[in-house]
Amino acid sequence: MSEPEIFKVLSDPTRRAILERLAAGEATATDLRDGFAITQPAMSQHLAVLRGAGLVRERREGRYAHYSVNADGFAPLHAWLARYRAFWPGRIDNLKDLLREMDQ
Amino acid sequence: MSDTNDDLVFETTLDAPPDKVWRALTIPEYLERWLDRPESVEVDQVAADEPHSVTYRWTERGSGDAEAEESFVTFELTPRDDGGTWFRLTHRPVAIPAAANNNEVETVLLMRAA
Repeated sequence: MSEPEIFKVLSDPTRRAILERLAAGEATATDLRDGFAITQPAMSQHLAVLRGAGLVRERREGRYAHYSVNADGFAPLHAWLARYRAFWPGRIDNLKDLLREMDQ
Repeated sequence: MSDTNDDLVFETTLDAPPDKVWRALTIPEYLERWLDRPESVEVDQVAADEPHSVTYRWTERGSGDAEAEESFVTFELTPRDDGGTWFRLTHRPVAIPAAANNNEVETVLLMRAA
């Protein structure tokens, strides 16, 4: 999954909240709905999008599906973070230089 | 507020008052000079509260037909007793209303997934 696609998936606050919940440990769709004011079909839809993006894994056990965070799916996001972690310090130095050159 | 451990938050003190820093951040000629914007990036101001905070949409074109990638850069300025400015830069992959202040969720999420 490309960076822009992951950004789009993560731009939904409910999906971010679901990931946050799953980061604490595996859960079923029923567990996940607790605390969210959304319907079962809506939750299923969000989980399908997250699975499609490779951010969430599904494990079947009997009639229950258990969901968990798929850490590997976050690699593009980590690449983005690394890129901008390297980008900004030099820019902030530039800003400091400019402030010295500017008139009051 | 997440004050630590978020790698895409940069904080520093600047030896200039907030009004002056504000100009460096918002007057296009100044912004271009220090930002040295990569060619693939476009910036558009989406929110401003002079001289406290300003947010830019940061759009990075992908190569070829790849979809553009949108993120958000917020600069926050706080006056210091010595006349300088406490500067905080936050770069987020997704739009989060500044008032919500729930970037802790993002931080925790990214760190646990690492």
